[in-house]
Amino acid sequence: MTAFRFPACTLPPEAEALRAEVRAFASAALRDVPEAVRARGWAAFDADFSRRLGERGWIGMTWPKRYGGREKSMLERYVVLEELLAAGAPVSAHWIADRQSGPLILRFGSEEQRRFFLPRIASGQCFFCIGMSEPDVGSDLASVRSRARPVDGGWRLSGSKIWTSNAHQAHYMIALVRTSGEHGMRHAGLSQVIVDLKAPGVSVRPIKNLVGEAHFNQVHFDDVTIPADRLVGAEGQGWDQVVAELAYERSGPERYLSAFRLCLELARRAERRPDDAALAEAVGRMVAELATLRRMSLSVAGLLQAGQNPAQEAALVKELGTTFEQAMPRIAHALSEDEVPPATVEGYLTLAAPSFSLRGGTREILRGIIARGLGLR
Amino acid sequence: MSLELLHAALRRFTVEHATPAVRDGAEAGAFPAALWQAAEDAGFTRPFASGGWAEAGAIVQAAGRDALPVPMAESIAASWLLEQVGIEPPPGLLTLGEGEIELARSEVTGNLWRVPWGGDASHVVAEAAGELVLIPCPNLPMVFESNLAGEPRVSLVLDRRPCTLGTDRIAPGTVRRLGAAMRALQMAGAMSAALELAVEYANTRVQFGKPIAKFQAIQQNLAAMAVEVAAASAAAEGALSAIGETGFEFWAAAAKSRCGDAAGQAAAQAHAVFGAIGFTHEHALHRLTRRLWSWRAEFGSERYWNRELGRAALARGADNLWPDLTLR
Ligand SMILES: Cc1cc2nc3c(=O)[nH]c(=O)nc-3n(C[C@H](O)[C@H](O)[C@H](O)COP(=O)(O)OP(=O)(O)OC[C@H]3O[C@@H](n4cnc5c(N)ncnc54)[C@H](O)[C@@H]3O)c2cc1C
Repeated sequence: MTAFRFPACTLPPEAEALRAEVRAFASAALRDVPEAVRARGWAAFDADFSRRLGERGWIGMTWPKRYGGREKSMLERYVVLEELLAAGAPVSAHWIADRQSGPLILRFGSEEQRRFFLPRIASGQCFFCIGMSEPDVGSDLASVRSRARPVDGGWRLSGSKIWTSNAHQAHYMIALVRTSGEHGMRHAGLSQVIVDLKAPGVSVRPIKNLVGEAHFNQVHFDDVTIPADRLVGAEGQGWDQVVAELAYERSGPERYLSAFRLCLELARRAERRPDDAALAEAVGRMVAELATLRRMSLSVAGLLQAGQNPAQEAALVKELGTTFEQAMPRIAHALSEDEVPPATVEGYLTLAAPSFSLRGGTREILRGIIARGLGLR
Repeated sequence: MSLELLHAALRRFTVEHATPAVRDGAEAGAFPAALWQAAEDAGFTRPFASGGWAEAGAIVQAAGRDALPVPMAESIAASWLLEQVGIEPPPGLLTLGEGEIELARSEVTGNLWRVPWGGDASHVVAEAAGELVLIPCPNLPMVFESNLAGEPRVSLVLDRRPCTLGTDRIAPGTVRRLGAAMRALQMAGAMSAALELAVEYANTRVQFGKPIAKFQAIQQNLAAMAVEVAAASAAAEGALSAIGETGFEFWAAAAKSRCGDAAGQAAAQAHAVFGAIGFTHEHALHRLTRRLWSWRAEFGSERYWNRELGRAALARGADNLWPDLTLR
């Protein structure tokens, strides 16, 4: 089989009803937020905004009610995500917990972990970060070196993580670490643990990125105590869990909407210059791509709702989506004779675009996954 | 017939009837009458007798996938359009025409440019003054040309030619839009076939002691091609499922634009994988890629449709960009 399938997905009426509510909320909440700030979208951290979303039941909304969720469908969740992203809402604080840490705990965590963490996440008051990458470990994730040694009552963790988005503002990290076996044993002996970032021995150092902002961090673990009940899932099963987690990470509409405020900006420019045929043409091409991407992204949500595991399709949509997001600043530049000041939508996205095809797995790694799906490896 | 059975029947049909000799003959200018007859007998040219656009779309996509040298897409689209305006589709080969024609008292005058199989069709369906018109083709003055794939494209000269009018008027651009949707589906089919061939070839061609599929450069290029093919297929299915609905105006344009873009990239990527053998007449790849290069320019190029989409979006205003997208 060489072609990937993206079955059409139609949103049910309850999802469309929810859309109106989310759109009205976002529009009111963001009324005075400048465009250049909205352009940051899911890189903008606003704990208060996350708490307000939690109050409305828009975080962890597919989870069981007994864990603070609302038992909504994946498609209703999809509508909430796409409306917030398109509006440029500052969703970074809770994004990772809602998208991957929470689902991971729900699927692999203990009953006690679910009861403790999930309601806190869903109320928008407990934020997570992802501890996968390390200074020597990027794409080759299976070679992590951070190590948790068994001790009475739990583990002692040493090592370091890097590029950890929001570690300086989050409450917990889910870290992929070695708990048994030797370095070089690849997938065996890895586990996921929940690290309390306030615990003694944890130090977090923000790293300024090329935009000039500090979103990601280096995190050191110096003999940090990890209680036994903070191991997620079974010891040694961390690799399979991480693979499942990455599928959550790659499946959402954030992978094509990061540059949406620039799409809007381009349309506004074209509106101001109705005689510029090249601009109108670029807007047309952009609209065709957005509609195609949305159709595919929604299809992935539909597959998730149907209980399937669309890891291949999610990788493919992420690759197409980030290619589009990265093209947007180039297209805007090609159609303009003006300089680009830094504090603008175009300025910000020009600077931020290189990261789009790195975070969540690089372009080359995703193409490798697609090639596997094609039967080439 | 279920869709699965239909797919299987289409596969068998191609193997049985579209032999290399038939294909070469068609390109040399001999209409493949036996192939067409077999298609008619199988019901592939008039699918609405027993099904809807799901079946018709599968046939059109397969016609693209198998590079069939007959106008199945045109006949299907023409017969559907005729039914929409209350004209009983006549038997025989139907095609779609675009050009500049005037209508006066059930007679048309003007030119239809580069009509697919215009020399072999019994009738051409075209648009004149907001009406759909059915024009008999035989014995018209004609100029014979072809596209890059060797498919006949025949210009027709009309001088007070009697035609049949429907009971209902049509929206301007109806023929072009449906033609664009057909080409989008055919391109999606042809690209999927090219990808399938390329993957199969990469897994069998050995260089430096291993199948070239094991080289990362090949894997990366084919993955990039698969992304384009998937996007094209999704857009084409968007158009297919919108036929007859309000969203069709948008999706026909978006699909033609997106598939046209993908066609150029996918054709280039496929050829790169095949090396010199793919550059020969003997190899089947060119039957797909030459069609891709032709079809992306027919019934409106990417540029044409992007401008249409852009104008429509801007007429709605930037503030409606997102709300409109969520209605698609
Ligand atoms: C903004 C941002 C936020 C991030 N947030 C987080 C976070 O919160 N948590 C976290 O754990 N990580 C995070 N990351 C890290 C991210 O996951 C890594 O950058 C990514 O996995 C790649 O690792 P690397 O940067 O070490 O590059 P490398 O793996 O060293 O790759 C460098 C280059 O080599 C290529 N390459 C590597 N291996 C192969 C191969 N097998 N085949 C072909 N090419 C290959 C890559 O594609 C790339 O082009 C973030 C990164 C960014 C940019």
